[in-house]
Amino acid sequence: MSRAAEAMTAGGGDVDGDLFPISFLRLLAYVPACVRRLDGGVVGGRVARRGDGGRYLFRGHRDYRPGDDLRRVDWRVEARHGNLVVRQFDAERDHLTEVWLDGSASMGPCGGRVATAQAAALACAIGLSSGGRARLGVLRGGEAQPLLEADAWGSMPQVLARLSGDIPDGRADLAASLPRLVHRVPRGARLLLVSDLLTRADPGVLQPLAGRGIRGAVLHLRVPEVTSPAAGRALEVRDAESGGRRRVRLTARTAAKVAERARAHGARWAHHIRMVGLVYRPFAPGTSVERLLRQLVAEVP
Amino acid sequence: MSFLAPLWLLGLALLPLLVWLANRRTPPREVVWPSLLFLTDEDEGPPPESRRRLDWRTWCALLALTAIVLAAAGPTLRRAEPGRRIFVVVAAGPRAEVGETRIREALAPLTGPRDVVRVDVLLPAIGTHVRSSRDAIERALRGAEADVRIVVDDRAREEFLGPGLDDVVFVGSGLKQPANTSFLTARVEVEAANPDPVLHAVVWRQGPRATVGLEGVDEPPLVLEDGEARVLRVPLPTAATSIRLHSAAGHSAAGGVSADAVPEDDTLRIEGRVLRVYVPTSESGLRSVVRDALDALLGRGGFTLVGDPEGADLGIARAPTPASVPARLEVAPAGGEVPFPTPVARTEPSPWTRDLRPDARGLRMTPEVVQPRPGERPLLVARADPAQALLLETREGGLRLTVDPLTGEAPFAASSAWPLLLENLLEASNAPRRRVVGARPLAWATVGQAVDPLPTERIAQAARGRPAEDRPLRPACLLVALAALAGAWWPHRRDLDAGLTTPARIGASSRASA
Repeated sequence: MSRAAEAMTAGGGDVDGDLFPISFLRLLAYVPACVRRLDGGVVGGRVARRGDGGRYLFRGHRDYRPGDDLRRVDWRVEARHGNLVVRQFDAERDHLTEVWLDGSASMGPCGGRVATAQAAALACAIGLSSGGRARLGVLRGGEAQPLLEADAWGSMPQVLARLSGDIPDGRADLAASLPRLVHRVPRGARLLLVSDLLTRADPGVLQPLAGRGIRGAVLHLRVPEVTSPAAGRALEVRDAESGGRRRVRLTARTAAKVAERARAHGARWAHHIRMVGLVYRPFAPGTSVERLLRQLVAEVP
Repeated sequence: MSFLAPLWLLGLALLPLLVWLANRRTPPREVVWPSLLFLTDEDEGPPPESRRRLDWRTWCALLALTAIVLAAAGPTLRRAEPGRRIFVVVAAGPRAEVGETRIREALAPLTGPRDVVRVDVLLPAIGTHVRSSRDAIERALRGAEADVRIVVDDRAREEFLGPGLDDVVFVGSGLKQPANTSFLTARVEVEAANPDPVLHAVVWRQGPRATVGLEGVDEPPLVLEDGEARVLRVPLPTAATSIRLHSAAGHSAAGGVSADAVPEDDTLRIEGRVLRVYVPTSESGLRSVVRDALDALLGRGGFTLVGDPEGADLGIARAPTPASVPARLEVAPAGGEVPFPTPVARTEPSPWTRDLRPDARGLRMTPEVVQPRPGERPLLVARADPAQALLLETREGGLRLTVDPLTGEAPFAASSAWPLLLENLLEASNAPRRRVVGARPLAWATVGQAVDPLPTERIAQAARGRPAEDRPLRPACLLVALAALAGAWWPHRRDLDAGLTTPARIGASSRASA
């Protein structure tokens, strides 16, 4: 185990090695550096960032450098003096990243638990790497239950331990838990919700998020066995949440129908998620962790 | 179809087990599914079948198991049924008139295509005159593996074989055609005072009491008991027109036998110069030997071969010499001697005894009939193991003819040369128009004759010792097993190579996650 990985597991209690293997811990240790590099300016000459600091603690001006975000250019100075300068802000110590995890039993099968736990860990690591705080919670039984609140990077072992100890169980009841979550998220916070969205709830429950300056993303777990099953023989399937059984014959026609329903379901949720200003990011248990990290850092505000 | 190891067929009991294992998976395995949100009632599968229909992969597995079990059991396909091995020893003598061809023709209706008939003819090369010895028959019988052993012989059935040959079947093949009586040895003596020839002979008898008489000789008949031998001295009468040794009426067997009761060894020993030899037609083997021998001899002795060479009157002729022979018969017990007249030195040999030496006298039996004694010069040797024929010129100037002697055994058995030598004597006496009637086959002589049919029932019930021809089917079974295994394994391998997400793999990953 490398030093970085040891640091991730030290003092954090029991960290499930199956959920967070050594390779993941090693990657997790490099998240702060990755975030700083992306926030520092141009990365590869393609992506523009706002720069260091937050939005509100103004520190001063400096000359414009190619690659700076044009939104930070102080146009009034330019109009008054003809100099092109950008505004600089100090980091906001109370910047909060809300990481909420769907705690229903449907997140467990087919490799879903590993994928969601690692996605949640990445989200927490990104939030702590920015210098702010991170709050980890779980949606279960119609409630939004906070698990941990971390205020420094050194709290990552505790985050991993709590994620290891939380086992998907029961129902999430997003129809009831999402409104409660919406009301818990403060204004201007970053919200990262990890869920499979396997619910009949109306996506409109996310509407209260709009207009509150809440940014972030919804990481939609799409298990291929559910969203695009392969045709095959008959199966006796048991619902992980309800325990209900159903005999299914996955013919090619049936499999196509299921895939179409899953696609429509995901598209409907993606539409509402984007409407409230969040990023819709689907991922699967087989998605590369590095790729997911890159997407979270680069695309999630 | 038969099996080399039929116990392996118990392995077929695994077939129901395999079917049960296949049916045991009949209900679909339960798979933990994240959510049934996207599954509707339309996707409901058919109701569970009470009995699962076996797929073709299972059938391939069943076929492979069946083929493997059958291969282990070693199936064989019967191509030909087992057959019988019939071994026939033809030990017939001159009157058997049976050969390999006739034996095979007789056995043909009784045998099948898988039966093997082997016929060994134990006759020596000198012809059918000589019978095969007991040792030769026994040696042949013990040297062959057979289911039915048959000895074809022309003599009376005798239990003379050794132990272990109790199952041998004797088949008489003799003809009821009469044969001549027996004869051991004879010599022609010429006396100076009485130049008429005198016959010395020894006659044996084995069997019931018989009466032997000389036809044309005014003497009482000779009575021979079983196993008795007599030495005869017969001055041949000048007036006799024919002389025939015969048995009295009611006595069918007047043949001579040897003292050790070995009837199959025939020996003819002639001492003194034989003037004429007559051989019956049926004994052509002996005739050919004798004729060849005499042909070589006749030229030296001034004799000529007369008569029909192929008929019954083969003989040797010489210039006639007038003589008078008194008719009297002297009989001595076996082993005894009848005194011969004292040889008289001749200044000039008589015309018909010109070739005879004066000291060529003496009557004796010679056990060692094959080996030439000192001073004897072989004239003709015909050998065919174990029988031989040997014609020797003795040191005394006589001839010694031995037919089928077995080395180390006593000579003599039945022979038909007795009247032949009588005729020789008649020829020597130069009697006008004398002819030996007994040279013809005599109706009253049935020495050693027996006629029995082939043992059809015994042959039919004989065990079939010749193994059947079977074709092994094990390679074919193994080939089928390999093909079935390949058929059961190949599609599974193809699915794995293609990386398809099969329901089984879904279930496995689901269980791992749970």
